[in-house]
Amino acid sequence: MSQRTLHEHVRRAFAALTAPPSPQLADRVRQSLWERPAPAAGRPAEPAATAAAGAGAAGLLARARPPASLLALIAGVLLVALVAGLLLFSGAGRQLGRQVARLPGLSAPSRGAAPGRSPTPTLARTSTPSASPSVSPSASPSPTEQPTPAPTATPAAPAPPPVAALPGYSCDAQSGGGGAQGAMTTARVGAQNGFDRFVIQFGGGVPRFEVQPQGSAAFVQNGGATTVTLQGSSGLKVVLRNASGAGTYGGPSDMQPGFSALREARLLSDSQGVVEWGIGLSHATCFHAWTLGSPSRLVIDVQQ
Amino acid sequence: MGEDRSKREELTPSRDAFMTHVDAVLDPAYRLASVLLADDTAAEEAVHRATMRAWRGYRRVSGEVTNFRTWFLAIVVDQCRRERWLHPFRRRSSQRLVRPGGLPDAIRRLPAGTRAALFCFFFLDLPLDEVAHVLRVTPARVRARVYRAGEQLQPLLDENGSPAT
Repeated sequence: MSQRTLHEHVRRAFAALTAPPSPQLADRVRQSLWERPAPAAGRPAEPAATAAAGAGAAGLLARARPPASLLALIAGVLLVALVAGLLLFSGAGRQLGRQVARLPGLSAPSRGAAPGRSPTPTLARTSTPSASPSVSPSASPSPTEQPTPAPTATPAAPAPPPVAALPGYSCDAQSGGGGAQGAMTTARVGAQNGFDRFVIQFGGGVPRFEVQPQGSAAFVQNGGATTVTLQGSSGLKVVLRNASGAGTYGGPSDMQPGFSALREARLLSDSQGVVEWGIGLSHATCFHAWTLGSPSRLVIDVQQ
Repeated sequence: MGEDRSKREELTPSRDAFMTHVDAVLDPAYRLASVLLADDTAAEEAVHRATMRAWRGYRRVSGEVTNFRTWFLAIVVDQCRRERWLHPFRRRSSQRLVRPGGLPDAIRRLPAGTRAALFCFFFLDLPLDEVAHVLRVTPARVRARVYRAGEQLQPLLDENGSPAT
């Protein structure tokens, strides 16, 4: 088949595919043309270098400006992407900050999360400072929040509350913990904004504990054999049952930080599954005993 | 004052002259736009806009354009490309029905650039160089497009050279 035949058939095919323009198109073009002003002499409108044949069309096309609607669309997309990116990264930063605050090594909450003002919601409040011995186990593996019931008064509490207790604090004896065997590993103190903190860390779960306020800083040691007087004028006695530090405890046995409220903390005794700590306070004040998980810790915040 | 005005009128391109040129190429321009866009309404719109663009540039080139048809068709092709880019999902509304499997149907299925090259070369009888100018590609590419399209379309014609049924 010759090229001429193909030429003719393709020509016919295009004739079938296309049609002449409607007369309205010419009228419309003419009308639009007469409504428009003639191009100004100095206006660099369409192709300047369109000299020979259609060669100038390339110059015209190269300088064609995109429509304003397209530019607005691109600007809008970029703006949305920018805002989304900012939101994403700021949200991720906040999430990262929360995760850092949940790290188990952080025994003290941040300044803004002082329990006296607003307990941080990420810390575990598993202690139950009540007089009832039937307390649910507090060895929570995850640092999830549990509400703390209001501590109830113990008849043996000798020290009256000299200062107003902040929310979450009580000036009465508090107890909590579970039935787990507590292997005491370390203890530490720290001063925070509004409270001083005493922390005992355990290898297993937090054992049953009792924190009793007393009117002096004198404590009976070794089952009544001796009496030891700590720094300060008031005190807290911490009794851990079913606990021991023998072979596991590597922390100090006496700490004298001299904080505004917490003056001294001393390991009084560790025998027959009972561990006793004495805390010397500068003045009679309220406190808050609670626990944390991962690792298990008993936290005692003393109001300054 | 009057002298300035007469000079301005002298420099101002004549609408009548421009429209005379446009009338001569309106039919091939519209068909080319139909081939590229496969949409009669869009083709009409593209030709209208292309004419307005051509009028804006006509003042600068009126004394230089030796081949108005090629220059104008190139603007139409560019306008069609813009339309395709701005409205990529526009529904095609070609009103002409063609028999499935026939030569027109096969041409309609070709890429737009190949269709345009075939149209300019076979229907408008433009030389390869002018087709290249209109489509803004090299003459070699036009030749390749036409050759490959011919190879694709050849099997659709029987031994007598008629479209196979």
